[in-house]
Amino acid sequence: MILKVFILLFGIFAVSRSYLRYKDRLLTMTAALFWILLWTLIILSVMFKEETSSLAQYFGIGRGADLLLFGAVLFLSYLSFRLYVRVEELRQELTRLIRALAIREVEEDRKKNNNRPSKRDLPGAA
Amino acid sequence: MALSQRSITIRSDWQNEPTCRPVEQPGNISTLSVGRSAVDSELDLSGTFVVVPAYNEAHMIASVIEDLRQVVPVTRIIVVDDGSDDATANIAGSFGAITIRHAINRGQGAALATGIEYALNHKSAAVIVTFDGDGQHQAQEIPELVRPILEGTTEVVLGTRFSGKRASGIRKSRILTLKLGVIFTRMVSGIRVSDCHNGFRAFSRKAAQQIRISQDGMTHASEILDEVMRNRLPYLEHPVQICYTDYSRCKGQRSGQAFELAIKFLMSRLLR
Repeated sequence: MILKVFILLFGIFAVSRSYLRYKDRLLTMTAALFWILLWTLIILSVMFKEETSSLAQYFGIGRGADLLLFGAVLFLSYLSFRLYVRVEELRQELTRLIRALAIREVEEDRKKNNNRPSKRDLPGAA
Repeated sequence: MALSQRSITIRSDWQNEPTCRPVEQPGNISTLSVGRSAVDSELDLSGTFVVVPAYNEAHMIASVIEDLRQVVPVTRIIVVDDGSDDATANIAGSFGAITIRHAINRGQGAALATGIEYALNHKSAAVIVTFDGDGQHQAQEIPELVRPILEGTTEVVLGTRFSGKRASGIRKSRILTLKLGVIFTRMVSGIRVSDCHNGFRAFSRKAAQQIRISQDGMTHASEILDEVMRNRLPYLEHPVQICYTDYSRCKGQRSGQAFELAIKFLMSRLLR
């Protein structure tokens, strides 16, 4: 019973967070809807234990809670994969940006110094 | 402030270290100059660009450039300062080397890719050599390394420390890790090499254009071999001497990192 209340409260909290992050423009509407739907589903499955258990048996899994766990592990694995890909994309984008800036800087320096004597030509440079 | 004081202490330690780089001893420079003219008469190295990735190498970069310019013109030396906290870029610039500076540290693979991209902007770049910034490699070996490419017999030459010349000062644990790396690379990429993590390589212009380095960190070494196979580039290995010092060992990879690198490389292959 305590767990039920706890999950219910946490679920409501998570739904409100998703809505607020959407309002802050940190989540797109699709992403916000997805999170809200997911948490609503979790709340409902806790509230209506018998119905989820019969659904679980239909899938050949013993209890509703097991079905939930099974789904959660699958979903989390997928989510971490998505995050990994995204982080990788960001890392590569950042490197490309740093590279472009670095090359642009040295090209500009070269153009600027084109008419000046090179440092290596100056006495004592080596 | 505390950081700079620390780096100064470290630097003075390294300066006292015995070295196996002949160019650092003034008496040997003239000998090398003679060697250079002999090399020039045989091989035209004017289209050879050397890319040196460097991260916090202020105490070594001067001697590395000094060594390199006995062999290639200083305007063909590209030092990529990978967001160093020390004076690496300033020192490299004062020697007249082309100095590209990453605003933040992105890893050796990223630095190499930057240097290669910049070298390819020069139409005269026919061969691109990658050369470590920690003083492990010997510049006088460049002509022999690039020779097969200039003669048109291959597109990629990979330096190897396990064929012919012995690596000086190498630890047994490092040999074991590198050998395991060779087996791993053979299984994953299908390339048969005797040394899979050697930073001393030479690429023809065509090879440099085709090889895509997307791994910023140390996994780029495996990625390069993978790319050589993927693009079906003809390659050969050339024995080079790697000079290990306490400094280079300290700067280099730990054997314990090998497993992490292998996992990273496999993940990057899965996502490609």
